[in-house]
Amino acid sequence: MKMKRIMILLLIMLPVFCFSQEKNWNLNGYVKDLYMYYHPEQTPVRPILQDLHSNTIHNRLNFNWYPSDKISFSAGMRNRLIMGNLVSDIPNYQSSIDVDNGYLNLSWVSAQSDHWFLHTIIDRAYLDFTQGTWQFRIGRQRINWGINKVWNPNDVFNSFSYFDFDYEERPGSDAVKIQHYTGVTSSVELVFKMGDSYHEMAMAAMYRFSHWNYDFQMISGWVGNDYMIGGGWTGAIMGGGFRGEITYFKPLPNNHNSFETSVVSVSYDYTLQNNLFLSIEGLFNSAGTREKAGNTNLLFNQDLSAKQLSRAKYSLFAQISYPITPLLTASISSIVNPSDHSSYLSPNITYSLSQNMEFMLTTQLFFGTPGSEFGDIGQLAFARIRWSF
Amino acid sequence: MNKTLSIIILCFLSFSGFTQQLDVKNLVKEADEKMRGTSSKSNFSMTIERPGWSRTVKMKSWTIGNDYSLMYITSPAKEKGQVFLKRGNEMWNWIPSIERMVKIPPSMMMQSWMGSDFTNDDLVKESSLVKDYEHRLAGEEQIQGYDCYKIELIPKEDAPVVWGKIFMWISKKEKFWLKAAFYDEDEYLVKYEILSDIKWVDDREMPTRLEMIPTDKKGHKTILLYGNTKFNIDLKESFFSIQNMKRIR
Repeated sequence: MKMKRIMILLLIMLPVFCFSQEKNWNLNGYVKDLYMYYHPEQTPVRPILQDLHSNTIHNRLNFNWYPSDKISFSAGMRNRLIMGNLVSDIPNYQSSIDVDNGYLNLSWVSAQSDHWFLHTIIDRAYLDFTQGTWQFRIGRQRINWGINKVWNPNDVFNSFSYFDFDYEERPGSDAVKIQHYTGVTSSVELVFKMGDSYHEMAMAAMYRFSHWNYDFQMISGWVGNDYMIGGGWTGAIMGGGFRGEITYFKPLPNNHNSFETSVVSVSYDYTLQNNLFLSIEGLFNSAGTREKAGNTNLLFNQDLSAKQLSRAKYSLFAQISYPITPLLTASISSIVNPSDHSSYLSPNITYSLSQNMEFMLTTQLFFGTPGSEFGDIGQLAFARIRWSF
Repeated sequence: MNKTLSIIILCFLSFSGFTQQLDVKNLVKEADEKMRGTSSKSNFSMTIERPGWSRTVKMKSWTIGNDYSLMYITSPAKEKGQVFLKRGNEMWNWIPSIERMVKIPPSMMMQSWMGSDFTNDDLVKESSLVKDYEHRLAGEEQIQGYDCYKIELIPKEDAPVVWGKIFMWISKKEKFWLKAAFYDEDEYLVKYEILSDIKWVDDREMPTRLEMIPTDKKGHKTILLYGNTKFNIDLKESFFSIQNMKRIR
C-alpha cells in the first residue's frame, strides 16, 4: 500500500524531470527539529501523572510543476519522525496523529517501534487550470477564508487551533474550487468539499471586493450540519490594521446534532515607528458558555471548527512583538477567558542563525482553576530549529 | 520710465524665480524617473549588513510609475514566493505557504522591510519625492567627482511622510541622483543614502548600487543592487491585480 502510493507519486513526477527543457518545476520545503517538554496539569493517561517529552524531526516538501502557462500541479507532503515518552507512554497518541480528515486517506505510518514512529501525510495535491479570469482548482488544497490572526469564524473549510504553531500550512480540503476574478481586486469563488457523508461535505461561495480602502468578503453556503452566512473586512483606523469576521450558523432542518450560533472576531494592530508591534483580538461565540469552559485537550483536539473556536462565550487575545535586532525577535502573546478567569501566556524568541536557519524558543503556559478553559492543560516548553530550502 | 523699468525687472525677477522653482522640481522628477522609468521590470538584491553578519533578500519587481508595483521574493527559501502588491495607497502581501492575503495597514508602511534599513515605504514608494514635497535649491556640491545640485525637500502638510526634510544631491549634467539625507521632524539626521556604481542599464546610464546608512549605528547599512532591468516596457494597470499576484513567479 505504502509502496503503491510512492510509486504513483514517482510516476507523476517522472515526466517532469525527464521532459523539462527549462526548469518548469520547483521543489522546496524545510526540515525542523522540535523538542517539546510537557508538564500536564491533569494526566492524559490515568492513573500516573508524569511529565511528557517528545522530539519531532519534521520535514516538509512542496512540489510545483508548471507544464504550461495555464496548467499547474502542486503537491505538499509532511513527514514527521516523532519519538519520546509521549509516544511510548500514551497508547492512543500514534493513532491520534495518523488521521486524515479528508475524503481520501493520504495519511500513513511507514515505520514504528514502541518509542517512535514515522508519519507521512500528503496535505496538498491539486491541479490548477486558469483560463483568462477563470480559475479551476481540483484536489486537496487549502481554502483559507480567514482574515484574523487567532480566530477565524470565516475559515469554514479548515479551522485550526492557534496553539498548534508548528503547522502553519494547515491541512488541506478535498475540494473543487471555481474562482472568477471580476476585477483587479474583486473575485467570486465557489467551493465544493467532498466528504464521506454530508456531515463532512460543504458547498459555499464567497464574494470579495475592495471599497473605501477596505477589503470586504461575503460568504454563504452549507457546511456539514449547518447553513452559514457571514462576512469579513480588513482595513485601517488611525493607521492601524482593523479586521473582523462574522459567521452565523443555522442547523439544517431536522438536524438535532447541531446548534445555532453566531461567531464574531475583531482585531486591531498597530506598528510603532520603532517597529514595536501591538495587536489585540476578541472572540464572541453566542453558543459559548460564561461558566467554566473546560475540556480543551491539546493532544487530541480534532474537532475544532469555525463554529466552535472556543467553548467560551468571550475570549481576548493580546500580543506584543519587537525585533530587538533584525536577527532576534521577541514576543509575548496572551489569551484570557474573562468569564472563568483562566489564561494562556506564551513568551517567544526567534533567532536567525544564518540565511536559511532559524532557532526558536517558546513556552505555552496555561493557568486556571480545575474545569476552567485553560486550567486543566498545564505548561509546555518548546525548542525548535528550522532549516529552509 | 524708471517705474516701468523697475516693473519689468521685477517681473523678470519673479519669473526667473518661478522658473527656477519649476526646474528644481523637474530635476527631482527627472532624477527619480531615471531610477525607475515610466514602467520597469527588474531583479534586485538587498543585503542587510551589520557588524558580524549579513543577510540577503532577492526579488523580482514590476512597476508603473509611483502607483503600481508588484514584488516577488525569490530568496531566501523561507520567504520565497511571497508577493507584495501596491496599487495607489493600498498594499497587500500574499503568503502562498498559508494561502493568505494580508492587507498592510498604513502604520506598517514605515516599518523596516524584512529587517532592513529600508521601510516598506522606501521600497514601494508610497510617498512621492515629486508630489509630496516642496523643493528648493540649497547649494552646489561635488559628489563622487560629479558637480551636483543640493536640493532641499520639505514635505507638504498633508503628505504621508515621516521625514522632517530631505536633502538630495543630483548631478547637474547627467541628472544622476547620487546622495540623499533624511532628517526627522527635530532636524536630526536619521539616515543617508549613497547611490553609486554608474552603469548602462537597458537604455540608460544610472547608479546601480544604493546604500542606506543609518547615522547613529556604526557598521550598519543596507545595500540594494540593481540586476537585470528593462525600462518603459508594455505593462498595463490590470497586471497589478490580486489574480496576477497569486500567479506570478
